[in-house]
Amino acid sequence: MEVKGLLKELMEFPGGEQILKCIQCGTCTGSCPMAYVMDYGPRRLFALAKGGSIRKALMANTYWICASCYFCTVRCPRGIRITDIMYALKRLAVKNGIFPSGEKTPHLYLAFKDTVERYGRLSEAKMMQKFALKDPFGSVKKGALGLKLLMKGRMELKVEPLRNLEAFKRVIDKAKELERAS
Amino acid sequence: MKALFYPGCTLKTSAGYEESINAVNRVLEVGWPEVDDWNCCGATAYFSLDELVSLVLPARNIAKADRAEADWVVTPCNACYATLRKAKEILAEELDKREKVKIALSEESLSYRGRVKIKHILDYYLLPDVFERVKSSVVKPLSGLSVACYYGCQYTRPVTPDVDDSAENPTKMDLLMKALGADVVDFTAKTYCCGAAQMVTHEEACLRLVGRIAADARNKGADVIVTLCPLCHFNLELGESKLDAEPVPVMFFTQLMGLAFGLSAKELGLKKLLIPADRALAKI
Ligand code: SF4
Ligand code: SF4
Repeated sequence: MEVKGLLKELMEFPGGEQILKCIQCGTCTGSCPMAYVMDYGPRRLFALAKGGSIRKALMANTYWICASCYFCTVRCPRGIRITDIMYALKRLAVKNGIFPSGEKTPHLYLAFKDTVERYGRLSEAKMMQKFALKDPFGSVKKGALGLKLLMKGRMELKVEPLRNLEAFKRVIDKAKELERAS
Repeated sequence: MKALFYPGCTLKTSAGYEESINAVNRVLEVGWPEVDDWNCCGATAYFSLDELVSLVLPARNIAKADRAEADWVVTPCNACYATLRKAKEILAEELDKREKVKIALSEESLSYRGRVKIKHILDYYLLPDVFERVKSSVVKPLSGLSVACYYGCQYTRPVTPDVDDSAENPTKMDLLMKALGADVVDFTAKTYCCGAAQMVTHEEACLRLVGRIAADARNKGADVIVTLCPLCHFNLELGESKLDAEPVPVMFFTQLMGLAFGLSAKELGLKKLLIPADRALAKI
């Protein structure tokens, strides 16, 4: 039942139903710069999702590793917006809490979101501080680089929030409210 | 034609991009006021989390530019560029989302029409009258310097109506560099992916991508890789610094414009580069 539900949800994303048009030609995987570190390339991922194994598809690292290069999208002979489907899978995964446990990218994105919603703009330093809580080991390695960048004048430690931050937050809150209602 | 500037969040910390844009604009006597109180475009993170917010973030900036009667919003960042125009395309196609975005923006008395064109600053410098000025401002041609023009992914992909170059073989930066007197190498990796945000979470995988790009530049005899995006620049410089091969310096296209215009290394922020370009630039 649940499996069916997830596939249905994916289909409801704009373009999500496009995976049904896939002819399994493999152009996407052959064009994908990240395929070599993916559990499955995009072609196999779509075969799984179409075949109803959407939970298995969501437990793969494929769509998190996608770097949004859009090579697959411009080349797919069926005109499938593959990159957008990768985004739809990410949203579906976060919403349902189904994704590979070792995958750090969702945590990075959540740190990004948190920083932007607080200040209206991104501060790499603030985002990395937040993300460091989830990735303490990686952050030690990155500390040395941070220092180097700081010395080169390439790190801003303070953020300048939007002038009209309150209005910005009202807009974002309204969008979230509308999203929840739909 | 009125253009407003959308700097994006990463311009400030990039290696001399901001300085060199300001410096060449002074020479060309062009200027783009900033989009008033602009916010983060949301980048790839928001498309991955919350779709409506991912549309509202770019739409707020576009609506602000629209209110200021801009014809173009110009941005120096590929990721911002792709995000803004992608949101614009979705809002043109999906009217229910457009309605919701309008409701959210009305909280700040803004309205969204989708009239403003989204352009990369490179497109601005290639406008016929501006390009004439670029050519006549060259006082120190870059002859003797071989450059590999690296466009990355999102300057031309995804393909949306505002894109004005080929998806896999763009040539506008090549044209600009030739006008500055540089030799442009035939660069196969010009639109290969640098790994983008995955550099933070999947560094090993991305280093191999950077290695391929740098190797192509080196094998073609390029002295410098030229970029047009703060994120591409950061990934290439950082990645090359971690790889074993002799690194090819990576510079912003506006820094090379500045050099050809006779501006100093200081004005162009060249000392912020992690891979020094002095030896390459001595060839000019
Ligand atoms: S390129 Fe398109 S049609 Fe071919 S396998 Fe990939 S998604 Fe399917
Ligand atoms: S957009 Fe993602 S899935 Fe498609 S080719 Fe690029 S990295 Fe691979």
